[in-house]
Amino acid sequence: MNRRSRQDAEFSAFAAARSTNLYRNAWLLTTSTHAAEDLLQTTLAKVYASWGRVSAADDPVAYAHGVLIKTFLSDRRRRSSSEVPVSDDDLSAREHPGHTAADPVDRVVLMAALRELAPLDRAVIVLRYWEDRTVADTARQLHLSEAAVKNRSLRSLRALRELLTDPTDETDPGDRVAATVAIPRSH
Amino acid sequence: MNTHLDDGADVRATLQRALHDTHAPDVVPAAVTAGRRIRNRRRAAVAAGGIATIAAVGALAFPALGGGGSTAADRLPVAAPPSPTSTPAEHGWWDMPAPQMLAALEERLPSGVTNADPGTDAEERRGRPGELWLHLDAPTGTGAFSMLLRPPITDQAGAVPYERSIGCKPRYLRCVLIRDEDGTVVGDVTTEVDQGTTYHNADLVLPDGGAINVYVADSTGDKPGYAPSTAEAPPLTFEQVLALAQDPVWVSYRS
Repeated sequence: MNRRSRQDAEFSAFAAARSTNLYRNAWLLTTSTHAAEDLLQTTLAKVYASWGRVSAADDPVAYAHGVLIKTFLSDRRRRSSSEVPVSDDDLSAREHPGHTAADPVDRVVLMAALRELAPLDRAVIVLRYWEDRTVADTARQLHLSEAAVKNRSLRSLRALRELLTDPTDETDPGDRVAATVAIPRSH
Repeated sequence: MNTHLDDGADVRATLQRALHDTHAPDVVPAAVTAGRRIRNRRRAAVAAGGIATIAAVGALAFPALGGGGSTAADRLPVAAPPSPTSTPAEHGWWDMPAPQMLAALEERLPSGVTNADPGTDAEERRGRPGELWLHLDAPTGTGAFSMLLRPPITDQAGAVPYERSIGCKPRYLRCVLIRDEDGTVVGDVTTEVDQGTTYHNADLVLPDGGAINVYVADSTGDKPGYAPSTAEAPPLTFEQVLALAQDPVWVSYRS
């Protein structure tokens, strides 16, 4: 096997192993399956183009996730990646052995709530509460001060909790998810 | 305040519950194809000796859409072409602080167009270097404005261009291509209606591989369709966006 074939094989194995996690991040950031797929493909293309350097880095996975965030934040204006409301595909639960299928309403409500956040706030939510990054790490990744990350984190958590809360439900807002958000209509 | 909620455990659980069974589509073959294109462009840029200097930028109308004629623009200051072994561009004009971008923009706003939202929230939105987000008030109404200054994507072999979809498409209401002195298309300005939002969008790729994007819309949402239309037209005209995107002030910052 020549060098290029070997690198291609290594990249393909890396991409196959990391695509699902990257895709989930992309979905939370873009709140759209179509845009998430675009973002995933663009991210992997950039990683592939630099694979010789990436594969030798200390943490290729972190590099790929960093490329995804940067691509999302810098390419929000791309005409080819306009966000669309969630489709029926988003509602179908793809069962995974050993897991209970996710409630499709949860997913739709969550996407609608995330869409109400500014893109940078979404990125903070994904880094802090999906990837479990520290405040310092999140600040470095997003070129924000740590104070700004803390402020955005608290503000975004508050906003999400309000959006995910059923006003008729009297239980603690931190203990439940309910649909109160109007689901966007397709145009 | 319930401090036990500040760690975001409830939101984290919601995210995990909603996505635990989500799997990625297979985009690896397409990503490899696109990645090879990026890599080939890098190699071509290195083989060509790096970056050609733009002496002047002219705007050429897309004939089928009947746009305006050529317009000359000021000479854009550009960095010297990097050698194949130069270090990646880490800092440059694209790091212009957002308050500085705002000051430059406000100096260039036409009469009757003003910043609609100075204040704390707008300051936060303007906090990131190379990004400016605000609303503009104009006689036609209030609309969103954003400008992005984007760094070159580099590797150890030299500067590389952005992969972007510059070019006039039939769905645009109006489109003008921006060409350099060699006639190479380096950007465009377009008008489009998308999900009820009318907006002008400019994309310009600089010789050093960086890029400028300008977006101005007749609604206050960050993207088309995010908010209903709040103006008769975007607060800047097509011609004003064309001129603004090519203003050399955006490549003047030195850290």
